[in-house]
Amino acid sequence: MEGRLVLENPPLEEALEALRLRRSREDTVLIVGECSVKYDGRASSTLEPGDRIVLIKSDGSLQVHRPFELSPVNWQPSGSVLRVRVQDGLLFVRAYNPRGRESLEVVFSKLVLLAVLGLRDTGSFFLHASEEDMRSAILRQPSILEEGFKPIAVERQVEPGFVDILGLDGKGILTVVEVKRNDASRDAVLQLKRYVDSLRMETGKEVRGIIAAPGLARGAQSMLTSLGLEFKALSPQRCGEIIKRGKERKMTDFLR
Amino acid sequence: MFEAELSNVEPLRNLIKAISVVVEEGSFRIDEEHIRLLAMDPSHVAMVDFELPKEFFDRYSANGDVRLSINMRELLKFLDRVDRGEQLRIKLDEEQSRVVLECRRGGHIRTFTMPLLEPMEEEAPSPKIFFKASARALTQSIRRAIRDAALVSEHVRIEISAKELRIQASGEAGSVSSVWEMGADDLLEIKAQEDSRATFTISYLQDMVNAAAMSSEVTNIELSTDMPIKMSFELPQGKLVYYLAPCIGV
Repeated sequence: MEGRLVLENPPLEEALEALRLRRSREDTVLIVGECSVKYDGRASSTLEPGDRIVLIKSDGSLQVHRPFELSPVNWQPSGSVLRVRVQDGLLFVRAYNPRGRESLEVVFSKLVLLAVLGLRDTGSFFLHASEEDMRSAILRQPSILEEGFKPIAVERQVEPGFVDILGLDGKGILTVVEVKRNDASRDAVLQLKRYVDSLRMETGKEVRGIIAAPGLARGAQSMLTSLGLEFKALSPQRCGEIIKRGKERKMTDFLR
Repeated sequence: MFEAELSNVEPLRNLIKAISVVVEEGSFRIDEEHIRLLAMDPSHVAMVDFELPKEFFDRYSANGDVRLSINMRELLKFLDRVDRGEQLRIKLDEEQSRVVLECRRGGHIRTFTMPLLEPMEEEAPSPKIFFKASARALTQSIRRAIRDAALVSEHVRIEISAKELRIQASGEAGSVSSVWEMGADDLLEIKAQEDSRATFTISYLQDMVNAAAMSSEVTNIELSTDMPIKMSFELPQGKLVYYLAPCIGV
């Protein structure tokens, strides 16, 4: 971490100077002071004067926080273009989002704190996915369960309840998948057994049952084997990565 | 010092429009031979690589290396005001840090000035990607395929093999595909060392192709699997190239 500049109660001109001298657009900026906010874009809004915390991150996103509530009251997404100026004794910070053709202007009458910081953060974020995320990951990339697996239904109702994922394996055999976020217990195994039995009755055909979970709880393995069911090790982290990957890449990924 | 003149504003306006789909504010580098711009959009998903030779203009003079940073949308507003048949002179007024547009017809001169912006952060490096497949096709034909795809999805998949170019999309509303087999009238050339495919956000592609179609009749698409697409729009003079990063896992 590289602290670049921290100013307490700075005059607006001095703050303007500091913002302009920001060594690069990579810096993170924190501004605390009395301000009003105007937004124009998909809709328009005005926020009357009050004490606010404004956060400008290195990706060009901007957030205006009030001293209460979790979420920002106003914000602009990554990639916004920032302009600052002082006029009539007020400091104007304008963030324009070219994609959405929307602009946000924060007008400060008084500053309490200005910090321009060179922050570095290269740590990875490990998403500990929910059961629902694990399900979406299997749907997005069925091969993580088994090569050739094709999902055909989600939350399909059978006599004893709802099947997480119903699909066909590589040989076309109907397969019930029960997804668990934690080590699967004997209860989970019994639940799967009931689904498989119910579908066997319904279709009169062979049905496979698979538990997809990070592991099996004590006693579950022997029960699983004796009931003719299967286990596939699948961690929430792995699923989280698959979900996360499904997004737009950046040109900058290809410039190095 | 920079000054240029041209008698028909239309081609220039269309090219500035094509740049403005990627950047709102851009920095031209001007030297004795060319005007160039290489820029990335603020969300870092798209790039434009643009170049005009001095021959594009009726008269052109530039001394040394000049940077001209400007708001494209504001510039377009002025260019829209230039009439057919007016002679346009573009002048850089370095002293007052502004651009002067002078339109002349007969003895009537209209003058517009606009402020220069502070120079942008350094220019983006040009991407060095080794493309495994390419297809050269009529711009209108590509444009139609992308508009079709936009009916059903926000993403479009482009595939090039040695045999065909394929643009397709699918979503809840249905699916759409355009296939140009080798020898198709509007497919001029196709080459593939390796079958290549990648998926892109339609909104960007659509903006690019729509804007470029006003200046260019032929597009050269270059592709490698899950790599950015390069679309070079052939111009009578100069260069208009877009790069767009792929979407992975959609």
